[in-house]
Amino acid sequence: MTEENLLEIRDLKVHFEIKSGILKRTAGVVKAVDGVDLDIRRGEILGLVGESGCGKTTVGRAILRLVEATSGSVKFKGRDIFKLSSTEMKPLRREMQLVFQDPYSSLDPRSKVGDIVGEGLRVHGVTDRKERYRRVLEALEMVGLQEPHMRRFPHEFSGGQRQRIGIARALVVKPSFIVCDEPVSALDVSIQSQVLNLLKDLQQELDLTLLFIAHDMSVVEHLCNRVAVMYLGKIVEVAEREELFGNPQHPYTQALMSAIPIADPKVKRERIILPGDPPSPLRPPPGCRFHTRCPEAIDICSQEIPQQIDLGRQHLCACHLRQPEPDAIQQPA
Amino acid sequence: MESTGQSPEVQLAAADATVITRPPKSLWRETLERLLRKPSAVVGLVILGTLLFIAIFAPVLATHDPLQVLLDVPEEGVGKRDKPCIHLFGCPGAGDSLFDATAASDIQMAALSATNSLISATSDNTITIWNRGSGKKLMDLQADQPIFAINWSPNDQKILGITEDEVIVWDVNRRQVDRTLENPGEATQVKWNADGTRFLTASDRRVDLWDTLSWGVVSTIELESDLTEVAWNSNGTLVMTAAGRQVQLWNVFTGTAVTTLEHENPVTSARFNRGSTRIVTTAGTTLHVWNAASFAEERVIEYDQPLDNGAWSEDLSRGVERVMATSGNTGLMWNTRSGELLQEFDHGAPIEQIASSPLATRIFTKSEQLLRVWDATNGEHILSQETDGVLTSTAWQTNGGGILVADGDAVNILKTSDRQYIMGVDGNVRDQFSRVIYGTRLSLLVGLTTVTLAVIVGTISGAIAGFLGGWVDNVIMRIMDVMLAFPSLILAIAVVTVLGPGLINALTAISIVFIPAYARVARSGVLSVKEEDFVTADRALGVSQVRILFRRVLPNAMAPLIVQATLGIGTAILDAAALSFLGLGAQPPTPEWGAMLGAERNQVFTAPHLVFYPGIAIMITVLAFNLLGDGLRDALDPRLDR
Amino acid sequence: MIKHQHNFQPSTNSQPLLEINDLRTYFFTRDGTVKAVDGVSLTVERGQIHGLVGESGCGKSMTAMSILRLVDKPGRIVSGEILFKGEDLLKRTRNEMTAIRGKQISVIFQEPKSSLNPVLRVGTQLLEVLKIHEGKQRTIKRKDAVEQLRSVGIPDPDRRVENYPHEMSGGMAQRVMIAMGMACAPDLLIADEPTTALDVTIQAQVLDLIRKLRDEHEMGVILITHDMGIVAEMADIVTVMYAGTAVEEAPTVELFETPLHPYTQGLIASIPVMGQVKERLEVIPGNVPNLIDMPPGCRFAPRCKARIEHGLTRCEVEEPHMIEAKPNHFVRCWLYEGES
Repeated sequence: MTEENLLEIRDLKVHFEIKSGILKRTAGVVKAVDGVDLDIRRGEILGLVGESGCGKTTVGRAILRLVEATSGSVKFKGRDIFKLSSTEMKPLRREMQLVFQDPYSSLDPRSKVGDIVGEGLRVHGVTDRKERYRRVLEALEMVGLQEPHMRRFPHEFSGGQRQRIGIARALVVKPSFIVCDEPVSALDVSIQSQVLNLLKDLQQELDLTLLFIAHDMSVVEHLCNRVAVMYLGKIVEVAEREELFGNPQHPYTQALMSAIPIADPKVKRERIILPGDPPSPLRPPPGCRFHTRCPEAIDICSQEIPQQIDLGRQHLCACHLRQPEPDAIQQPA
Repeated sequence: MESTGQSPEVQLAAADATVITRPPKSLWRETLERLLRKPSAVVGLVILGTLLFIAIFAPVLATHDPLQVLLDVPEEGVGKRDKPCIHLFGCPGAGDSLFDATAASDIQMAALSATNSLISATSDNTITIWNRGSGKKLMDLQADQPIFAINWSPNDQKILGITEDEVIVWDVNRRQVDRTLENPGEATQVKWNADGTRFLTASDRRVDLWDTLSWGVVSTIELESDLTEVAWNSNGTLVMTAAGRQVQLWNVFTGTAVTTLEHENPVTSARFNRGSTRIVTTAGTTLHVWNAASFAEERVIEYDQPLDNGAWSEDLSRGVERVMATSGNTGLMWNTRSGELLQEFDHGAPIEQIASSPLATRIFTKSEQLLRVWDATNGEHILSQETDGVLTSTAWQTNGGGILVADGDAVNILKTSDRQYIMGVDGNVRDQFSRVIYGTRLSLLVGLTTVTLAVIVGTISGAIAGFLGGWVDNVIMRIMDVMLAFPSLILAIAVVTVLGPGLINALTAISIVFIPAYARVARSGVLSVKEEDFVTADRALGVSQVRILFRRVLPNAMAPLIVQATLGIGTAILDAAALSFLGLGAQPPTPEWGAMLGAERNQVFTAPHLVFYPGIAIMITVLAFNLLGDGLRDALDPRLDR
Repeated sequence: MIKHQHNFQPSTNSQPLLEINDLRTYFFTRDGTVKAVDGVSLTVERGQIHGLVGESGCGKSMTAMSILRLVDKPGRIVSGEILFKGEDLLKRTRNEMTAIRGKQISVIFQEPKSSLNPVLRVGTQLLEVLKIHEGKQRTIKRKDAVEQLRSVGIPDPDRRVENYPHEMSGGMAQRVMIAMGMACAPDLLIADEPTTALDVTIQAQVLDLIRKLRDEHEMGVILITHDMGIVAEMADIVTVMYAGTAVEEAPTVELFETPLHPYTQGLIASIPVMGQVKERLEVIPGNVPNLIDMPPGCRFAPRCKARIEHGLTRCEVEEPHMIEAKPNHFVRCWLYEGES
């Protein structure tokens, strides 16, 4: 366990059983997360990207034990949190928080903002009302809101403001790690930048570690130090930001990046259009999950699951076709 | 706009922060506002507010005690199932006429039949008879000579009349003369006994006792002085005569005097009381009370003026025992036992008659052209009636609600009671208005308690089922399914059968029946809210399950529950009414609307007011809750949250 | 590919396919009048993709609904002209509009799964469109539906024709929508956020398809989106909308190179562009305004840094007009109108 790793995730699997029939027999298994290894370093912003159904949200929730993992381990500051009882888990929860995607359902519509943000303090032993008030105010001001807002109700705020309230709620307990689950996807474009700037500032000021889950790679590129790409329950590529965006190795990453429309009409690129639809997580393809749509697939791809290989410069890739070449700089295909 | 030196961002940020200028508005406030915008909901609220007001202020608003039988109060003049009487809408008040008719010529004597359903008026040779209820003239009975006096038989079948030569018996049903008998000798009075088996005819010095089997004189009483009074006792065994200074009681069968009550002065009046347990006599300035069984003198009351018109004012069930007399223009009332003078009534003219209403609540004093009615308890003057002509006959109605008055050629019944019965009187002679008013309390209580209990139990079970899931969910919901399978009323009947009838048990039964519906609603609400992000956020913070359930999940799942509960109150009230209607809920005399309906359901055509008012009350109450519930459903629409 | 009888006008005149002039659609609610579309003008030529971009509440979707005259109470098209092939659509009768919708002007919406009838097979729905519009001229057969599916690139269309919507993925369902929209070879296609609900890789497919169809049929396309990236890639000409009005209109390259309106500038500067990492994103302070009872003057004024930097006073008092600041580049802003 390296000192600098805040979290070490090993072989994380989250399988959901689909039960049907009177006797509730298992009719199928959705392998939402199927063997994820990931390190999250102290003080970094790690981006986790992928399309819908790839399991990134489930990873985030499993780390926080909001969804029970089927197997694997998550070590937080050296302790395997899956082995803890709920009583032992409680103080740790203070350190690991979550920011949600939908600003409209992440705040209790019937409570005042001050109470919503202060709930965490109440649970973790701040019983003095004045102290809570002080800390809630502190958190709200950190996200750019003000004292009168404490007495308002969520429906009186805009989407961007609600999202900031959600961030304040996560911050008020002074966590060391926050999972941001698509925090700007539901916001208007001109508001996204407000929240992104805010997250960046807060991370620097408070020395937070963030797991930033998103599907928009341009946002990820802007914000994150390192990026992991997921496809159908598995991580296919992990690398430092410049390395990943400058030298994407996995065919899926390459296709993903080429598919994103760039807000600059002068940039002309050759698009890699992936055929077909992503397979269902109920029936993942054998071998490499991506082989059914991969333009470079060969025989072995449908037989063996590729392992994560370090290609050098801490660039991990799970593909049979990529080998470590320390000094070669490949042009994007 | 001048540049203030601040950066554009700061200036604009100021604009950003003041997005909200209105005061904070919680979702409850928002719901209330939306509710008030819907006219039907406002109507529902207004009705409910009124009902609540009525329920709270029932003792002030009701005119009577809802359990009090009016005859026991006593209120005289009220009868079973009397129709509603509101003076504003034409119902007669004190001093108004209950009956009004004119005879062909001046009336010498008017009388109410024994059952008070017919009225007779004698003028010269004719007896005119009217139906008291409809006011229609039924018949004219003729005699050959002027009729001196008549007397109704106890069952209204026959009328005895006396003319100079004849004693005539008319059959009222067949409207004809039944038989004629010879006037034994200048008799001018005729009286039936209590059961109509015998009658007497009396002249100045002679009383003949007749038998209706043989239609002949059975015995004759000869008197030494002129007759002042003659009367039967209540069981027909004795006849009392007052003549000269003597009052004598005669055995009817033998015609011999049983006892003689001697007085110092000529007897001016002698009267049995109701039940013939006592006799009052007046002579000179004294009034004597005699025991009619032992003939002992119970009391002598002295007065400073000559007394006349001895009469009784008694209601033994209330312990009222009073005796009355008149002296000139003054009417007098004493306590029989103590002899204490209780009241003096200043009539203002020489009093010819003083009489007490049957339940001794009122007295009238009558002079030649004036009738006055007094309150017997406090002596207050209630009303007066002056007539142009001579007041010939005055008598109380049997139920004490009116006085028969004949003056000139007109015969009236004067109403003496001023009571109004806004919704009429029920079959047990209770004021329905007060019962309906008090019934509001019961119905609202029933509705609210049953639903509250059911909601509490149902919500807890449903919430636990939804929140915990798994086998707990299964077990709880299967139990609810079983309960839901029963038709609610049948289940309620079964529960009441086990527990016994009564309002509390009916409440319990209905509560039980409602539980499954709320459990389901609560469960589904909890299930959907449980998955919301703000609940997950609390879990991520380490908030305990219990706190999450009560603080986050339940308040947000409440909306459909509130709607169902409000609508449920209406149904609960209906169910309670139905149970009471069937005799399983509120028991008489509880003034519960359903019970009131059930008790009188056979009287729909004869006394529709007894079915209408409780029915309308139920309808309005249930309607109000339905309107409110519908309004709440719209006001609590989930679109509210955006 | 089915070759339809194209209902082109002989293109001797340069009459635009669609010309919207000063369209206003208002919603009359209890709380006030919502001016959802308040003076929008734009033109679409044949074979041109006109991008309509803006954030939530800017009125872009309502503009599309107004073109199709699908505005329901309490909304109403208050004024303006919508000239389609020269004829004002606002003056057409309901029957005429019904004939136009689906045949000459087609729409595809954001959520394909909710636009398709879940209880009918996909083929049935496709055939229905064909029957309504072409049923009188010829017999519609099953293979027509199969061909339609093939033309939008759905693999194994013969089997897919029997699927129900829920048996298809989002991307495929959207293709079906496009097939239904294209079934009668419309002159104008309105695509309202067609890829927002789709994954990025699928989005690429669908956009590609739209471009291909536009090339083949010389169709005019109004592409409504909030994504500047899509606009940059797909559109020939862009109209930027804010709070119910059009604030800028220019050819795409021109718009991105030299955005004139402060809102457009802020928008472009606030979007992270892949490959061009900035330390800090530009922020447009404040929020989108409430469309009820907007204050007078330029709608963007409360959030406009340029107004403060240039010390303009007119912005909060008077609303600017759309002027041609540069050739073919229109903008609604006092910065360019001069104080007169």
